[in-house]
Amino acid sequence: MYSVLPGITLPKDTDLLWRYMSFEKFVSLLDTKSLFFTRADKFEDPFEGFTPPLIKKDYVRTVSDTNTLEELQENWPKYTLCSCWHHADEESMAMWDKYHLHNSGIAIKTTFGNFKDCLGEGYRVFLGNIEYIDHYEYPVPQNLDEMSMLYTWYFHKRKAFEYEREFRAIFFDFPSSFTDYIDNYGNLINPDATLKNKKYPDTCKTGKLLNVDLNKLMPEVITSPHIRNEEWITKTVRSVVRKYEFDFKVNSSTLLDEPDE
Amino acid sequence: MTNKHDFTIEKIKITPMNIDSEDVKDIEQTISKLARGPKKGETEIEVFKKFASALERAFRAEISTFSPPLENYKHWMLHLPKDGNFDATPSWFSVSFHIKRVENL
Repeated sequence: MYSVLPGITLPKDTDLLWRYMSFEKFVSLLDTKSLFFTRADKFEDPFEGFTPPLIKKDYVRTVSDTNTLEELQENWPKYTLCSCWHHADEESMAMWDKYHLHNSGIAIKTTFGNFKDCLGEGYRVFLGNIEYIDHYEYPVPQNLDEMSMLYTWYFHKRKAFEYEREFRAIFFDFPSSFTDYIDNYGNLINPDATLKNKKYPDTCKTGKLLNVDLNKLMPEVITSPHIRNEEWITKTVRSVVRKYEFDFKVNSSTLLDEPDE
Repeated sequence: MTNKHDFTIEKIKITPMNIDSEDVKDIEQTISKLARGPKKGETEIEVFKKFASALERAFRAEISTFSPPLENYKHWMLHLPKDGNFDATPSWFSVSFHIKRVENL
């Protein structure tokens, strides 16, 4: 089940999404039939979830205790679990290299339509393309609400990351004790008065596995272009996929093939 | 002065993540037992909190997590680890439900 935050864009159903990963992670995916969602505070980018200062300044006018807001924003990333995908028409050499997938890499090739269909029940994820912005110049939107204030910035990154062309699925996973501070629609109740002395317990160490329908997710997987002369690796991947009783296609990348005459 | 009302927990749906089917039956039985009957509370959230605490105790969970209802999706979602915490194994389950206030005649 998925939702979309206000102002966040989605790919078209036929748009391609790619996920580059190591062979070990691929086997774990087959074994658990689950996608791993990583805590946003485990990512390297210090701007993950960073609220543009103009927006924060505007919001703070309505909040008497800014320390609470600071504290909340500081802790929010640990409850924000992300699955990140590359949104592009073609396989990318840069992505193979970015993830150092020289010998045993796998790329999952899917479409946005398939991605939506593979999601299971029992969790609610927010989907959307990352918007690349200059946080220091980003203007104040007209209808700023609590949800936008805390959630939407995980769909915004700096322009330096534009090459990633990222699409994200995000699962917000709050400890049940947070219900002291929200209304029936997930908005904070009186944020300036509530969260003092509140502890922010870890709900998981690095992230969580969410069950998905892998046959819907993966019409095709592709093995690394760096192993183009090692056909046995692609055969092994194919064999592992069949052993787990999946029937999606496994093909070798052709990115480093010689050009046709 | 408190203003307690009766609520019921309805439309329960349990979604297991990486849990064996025999264990799922036990989980379902425990949850339906705890969900049965009217629940007293001032608000929906209070009822949710009590239900979450009861499930945490029943499954010896160190922590549970939740997703609140959305305007177009009225279910609460409560997530519990099967084995104490979410890092122990990839096994956890999700319980979605409605909390409905009982109107007094």
